[in-house]
Amino acid sequence: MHTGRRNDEPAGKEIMDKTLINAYIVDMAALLGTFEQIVLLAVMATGDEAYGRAVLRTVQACLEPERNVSAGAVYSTLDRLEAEGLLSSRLEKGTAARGGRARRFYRLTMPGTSALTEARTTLDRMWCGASRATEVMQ
Amino acid sequence: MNPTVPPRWMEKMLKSLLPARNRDAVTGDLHEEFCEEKLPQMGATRARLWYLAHVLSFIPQRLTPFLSLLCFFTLTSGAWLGMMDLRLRHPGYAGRELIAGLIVGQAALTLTALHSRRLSWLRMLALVGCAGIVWLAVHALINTLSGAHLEGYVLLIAMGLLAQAALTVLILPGLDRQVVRRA
Repeated sequence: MHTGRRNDEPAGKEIMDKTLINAYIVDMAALLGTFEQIVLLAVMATGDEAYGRAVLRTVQACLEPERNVSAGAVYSTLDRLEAEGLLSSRLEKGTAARGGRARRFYRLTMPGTSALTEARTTLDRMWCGASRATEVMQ
Repeated sequence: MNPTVPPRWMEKMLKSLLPARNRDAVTGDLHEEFCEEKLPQMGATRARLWYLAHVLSFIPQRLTPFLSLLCFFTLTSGAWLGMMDLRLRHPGYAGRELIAGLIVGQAALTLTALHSRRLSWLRMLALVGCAGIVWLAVHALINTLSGAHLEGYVLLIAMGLLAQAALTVLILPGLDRQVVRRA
């Protein structure tokens, strides 16, 4: 049977190909983007205190110091993730420090947790395949 | 002007860029960060610049519906032009069919890139396509304005294409590059 592999090709390439195919069997459009994963993880890490400012600060703290995260990007991502049902939010009374304006607190939903797990599993599988392929080639 | 709070005009601008649902929460968050962190750390001028930069970062989000609307307009116009040319078959109609196809294709590509935010290669393609529609629009504008009689619909579509290209260049890179940009 034709396997699609030439005899002189290393076996590592085949392992990598299979891993790539397996990883891409999942619906790619349903996978989270990198920034979406960062925002969801920031909400998860901030726990009960996950309101917009805290999420923005957590995202900023996790990135390299020379990178700036824009508030527009974080809030639009939060909105989009909420619209997709990956986050839920509630409004709470604001403090005097913020001129009495309300705070919107975010929480990860079950689909949000599943989406994060799925994204991590896919990436882990890719990394695993990549390192195995590198080992075989070496 | 009270230096301990964000300038009023910036706050007004921020409010105008936000959907009603998030207006209070977002202005409150940035107010809090400005007063508690940025002002003591950076001083008044740099803190205000920090605030303004964040206010401006909401512009792409706000302009997205306008770009969608423009794309819908150029897509419909392109399709209409294509159908009319196909029906009338005046000399040189094949070339105009190609132009109509390009207009429709670019509008469809931009709309898809705008709404499938995880496909960054589509955004790249849509940005490259902007050069094409700008060239088309400028060419159409020159021909129409220097022609014997003014064709209003060509002028309108050309202006629409120019506006579409400008908004695409302003918004699409913002969907990922401005998300995390280098300081």
